[in-house]
Amino acid sequence: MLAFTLLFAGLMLLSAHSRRRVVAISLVGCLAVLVVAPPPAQGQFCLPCVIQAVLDTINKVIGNWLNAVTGVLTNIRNFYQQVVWPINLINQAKAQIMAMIAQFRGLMQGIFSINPHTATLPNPVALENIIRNRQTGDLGSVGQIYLNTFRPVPQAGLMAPQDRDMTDMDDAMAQNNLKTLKMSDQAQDLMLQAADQIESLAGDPDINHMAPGSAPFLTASAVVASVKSEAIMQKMLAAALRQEAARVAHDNALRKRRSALAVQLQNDMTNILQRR
Amino acid sequence: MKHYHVKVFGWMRRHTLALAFVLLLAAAMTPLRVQGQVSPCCAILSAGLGTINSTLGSVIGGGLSDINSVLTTIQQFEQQVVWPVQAIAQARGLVGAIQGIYTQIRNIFNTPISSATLANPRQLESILLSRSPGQIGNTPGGYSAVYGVVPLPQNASPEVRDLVDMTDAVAQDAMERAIAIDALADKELQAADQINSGIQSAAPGSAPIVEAQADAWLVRAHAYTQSALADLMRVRAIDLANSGATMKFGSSGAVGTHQDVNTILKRQ
Repeated sequence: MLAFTLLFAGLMLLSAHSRRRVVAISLVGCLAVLVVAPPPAQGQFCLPCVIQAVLDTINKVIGNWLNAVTGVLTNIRNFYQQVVWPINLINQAKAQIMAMIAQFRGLMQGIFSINPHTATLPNPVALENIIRNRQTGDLGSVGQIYLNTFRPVPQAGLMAPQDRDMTDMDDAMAQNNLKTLKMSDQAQDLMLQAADQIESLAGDPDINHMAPGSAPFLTASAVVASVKSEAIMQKMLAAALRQEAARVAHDNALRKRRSALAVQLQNDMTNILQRR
Repeated sequence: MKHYHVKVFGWMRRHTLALAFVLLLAAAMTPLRVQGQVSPCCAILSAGLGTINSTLGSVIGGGLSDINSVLTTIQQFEQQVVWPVQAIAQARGLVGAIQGIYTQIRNIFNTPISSATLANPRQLESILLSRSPGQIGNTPGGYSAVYGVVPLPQNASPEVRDLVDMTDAVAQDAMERAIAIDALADKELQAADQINSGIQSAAPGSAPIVEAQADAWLVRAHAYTQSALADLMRVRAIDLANSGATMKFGSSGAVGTHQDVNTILKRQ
């Protein structure tokens, strides 16, 4: 810019004789100087201010939000670890389960396995054994062993037909129930096995075997076992109902016969008295 | 030489305007040193960018690192303590093992237990053990074949006929309900198997839903059990009522007999 100014000054000196030329060269010189040296624009843009604003945004806005997010996540973590799933309480619950298993399981199994046998004669002893052995593999033998003790239905001609039917029905209901009870005995043993397995896994101290997140599976399984158990209970009640119904029906059949016999006796007595 | 300089100055004096335009053109064509305008800011910009960089590293990078650390802790806690995959697999395995127990129970209760030997009892027994509600309609026929029917009016007093009819009704009702309860129990066992299968394919988050359904079935099963118990109690109530009625009839019968004997003796 200095060089251009000196050159234009020289030209103005050379044309000092003509005012018009001086003016013209001055104008052209000014134009050239303006072209070479435009006014600086940095006055409109404050770089330090912008940098400071960005730093403020990072420090105050984003930094604060990140701190807040970290705080919330830390609270969630602490809530999980200290309130919802504290490891010490998880272990304590498992320890309690294992302690209760040690305290009760063997004892209750011992009590439950008490199986009285009080019959003294061979046939009743055999029947008592088979109806209390909690097995179902020998269900086919129940009928014969039952008959050995209670004897079979008398042959035709030795008993009135209706009595034979009722006796046979009574025997059938009794045998059915004894067989159903053997089944339910074995089912109870299996249900107890299921309960033991569920409880043992629930108390397993290894976190890779039992964890709070896997407990719902065991809970659901235990509820299903309860439904099964209830169904077995219903089957037993149905058997008891059949047995009671048969007993009441038997008594009622005798009542019918007694009534008919009483009417017949009354008629016979009337006839006898009328003959006299 | 002096003459030469005078000539040049003379030429320049004559062409000052042309020279001025040539200089203007030269000025216009001279490349601008733009960097000269920002040069003072470079240091500030460099320092500012450096500060921004370090601030990003410390504030945002540090914050994100903290978040990542907490999230990693939560992830590890959930994967190792709350929902370990091995524990979930173990629980599913146990559910499968228990299903094996249920299969044994189902097989046990499918063992035939019929024991009657004569025709009529066998027919009634097959109805009672059918576990089929479709057989309920056949119960009265099978029942009357074994236990008889209500005596005709000429064969029993009205009181006795009422008693007999009521007792037959309760006995038959109980038999029919026993068939229904057996059928219900079978359906419950079947449903429980299905629910158990659902547990084996459930996730920790969906297992409580399956459990809720199982709970509902348990409530239902309790209701059926109560119903069965109620039927049993009804039979026993009628049985007790029969005992009372027998005593009542026996008492009035004794009085009647006493009077009859007196009448006979008086005639003699």
